[in-house]
Amino acid sequence: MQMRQGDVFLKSVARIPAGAVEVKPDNGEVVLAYGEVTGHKHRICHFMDTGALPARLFEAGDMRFLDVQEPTNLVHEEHATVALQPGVYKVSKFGIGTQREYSPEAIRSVAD
Amino acid sequence: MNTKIIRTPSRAEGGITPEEKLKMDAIAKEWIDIAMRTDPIDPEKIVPAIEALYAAADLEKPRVVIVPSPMVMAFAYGAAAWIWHCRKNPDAATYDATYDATYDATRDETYAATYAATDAATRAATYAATYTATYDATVAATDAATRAATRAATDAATDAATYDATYDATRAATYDATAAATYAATYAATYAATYDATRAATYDATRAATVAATDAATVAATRAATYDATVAATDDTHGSPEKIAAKACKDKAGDGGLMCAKLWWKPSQGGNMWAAFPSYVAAMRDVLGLQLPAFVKYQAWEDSALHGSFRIMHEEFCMVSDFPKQIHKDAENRPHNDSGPSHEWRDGWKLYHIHGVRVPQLVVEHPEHITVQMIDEETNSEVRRIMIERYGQSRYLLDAGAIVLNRDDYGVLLRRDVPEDEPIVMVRVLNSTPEPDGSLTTEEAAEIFGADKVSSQATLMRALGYESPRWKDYFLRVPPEMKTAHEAVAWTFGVSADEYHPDFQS
Repeated sequence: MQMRQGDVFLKSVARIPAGAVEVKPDNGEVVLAYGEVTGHKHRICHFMDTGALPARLFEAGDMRFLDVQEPTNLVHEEHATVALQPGVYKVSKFGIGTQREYSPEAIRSVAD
Repeated sequence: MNTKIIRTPSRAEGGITPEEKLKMDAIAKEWIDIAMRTDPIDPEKIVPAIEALYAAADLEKPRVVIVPSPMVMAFAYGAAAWIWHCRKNPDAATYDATYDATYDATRDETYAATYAATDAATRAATYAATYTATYDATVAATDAATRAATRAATDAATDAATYDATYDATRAATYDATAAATYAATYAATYAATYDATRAATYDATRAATVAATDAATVAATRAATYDATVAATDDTHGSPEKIAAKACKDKAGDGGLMCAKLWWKPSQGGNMWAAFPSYVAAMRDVLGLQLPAFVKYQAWEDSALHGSFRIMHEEFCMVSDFPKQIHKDAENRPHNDSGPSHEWRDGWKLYHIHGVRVPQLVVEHPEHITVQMIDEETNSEVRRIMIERYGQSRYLLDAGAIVLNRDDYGVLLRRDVPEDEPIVMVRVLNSTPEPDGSLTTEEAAEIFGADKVSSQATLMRALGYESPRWKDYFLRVPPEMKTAHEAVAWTFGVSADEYHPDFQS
């Protein structure tokens, strides 16, 4: 399963690598990425009724992984909502796999 | 480490201690600030310093002339050097007087030979006028003597450590943005202006030869339409500061003056912009405690660096430039300012740099006036890249007539060839979600990305309540070898086209 929301690309993987550390929720939301210019966020909200979070974010070196435990949505101010089914996803926004742009001098990363 | 630290007034050995290193860092910082200084020059300080510098080399006291910028210095020097040369060598003065007359009298067939001979004579005479004896004498008496003396008084480890802490540190922090940038710009100013003036001279000469062979009435009419127009375009007071200075130089001293101006760099010294060496000597003297005899005369060199900028050493006069009014650099110490001049002197001479690349004023201050034609006519590829960046890579691609390499479900791959540089290849992608501030209508989006792709998306959006959605597209530059939009988008995520198949995109 592969999904893309703007410059965030999610790809199903078998498991979260050993030694990965949980990234704490930000103000009750799981934030996959912050827009550098707009301040917009690719995020997963908690359930309105219980306040519980349907997913957890992990960091392993410069890679991030999303562990979705209950069906939920990835939302962003400028993009359509992406439905996520339970499973583990690698988040291509950090380290290898971050969306990048070619430049004759150096390769720049993209942030929306 | 068994090396013993030795500190006497005539000898320093054993490397440097951490305490000494800290003091040297402070000295380097002090000289970095001196190299970057922007307050006005003080005649009461620089004049005695320069007089002492000449005295150190047993030279006669010069006239010390303060000039507002290195550019004015170069042209004022050229005129003054040529005038002095002519006074001392009366034969040279006849060069200017006979210059036009020679060409007037010269027929086409003898033109080349006469030109070459005159040119050679001028070069020889001009070279003599810009001789560097004064430069050499002052350097030998102060800078070089001090260098040799400090080397002799220290062991290699102490010298190298002090050198790293001061000379290297100061030079790394300042040189590109001060001495190198100023030097390059002054060089360019004199070179370009001299070239223009030489063209005018050859143009004049050709015109003069034509005069002899054609009817006077025709000439009068031609002159009004060509010569006057050319002069107006190149030499009037509305021209660039470089052209105005070059005109002043030529008016004062003729072509000999311009030839000398072009060679300004030979007798020039960097003043405060050569801050690395004074920083190193200060560490040897004030931190390691050396009190060498060479330091006595050296004081004049240090004071001249402290109180003045670029200078020209002539046996009769010394011209010293004021400090710039502003200098800007980037984190890598290259001259740089995104929104204004990187350097400005108090006479209004300004330089513009983007990360070390000198660019025309318009590129920085009026990027909205950059045109595709200007970009394509720019011969310097570094300047061209900056112009394209300021114009907008994607806008350039569209406005300059890019070719469509491929169109698929992932977007459109476009290429624009750039002269003497690698082509710009970008993938144009459609934001899957329509947005209120999108720039494209559904029809426009369909035209660019294909009706199928847009209509399926539009149907979905209508179901969600968007009646007449607008669409946003964006461009991502990709390596020039990309063949399809799919491959290009996959590349942006660091995967191959085979690995990249999103089930859902937004």
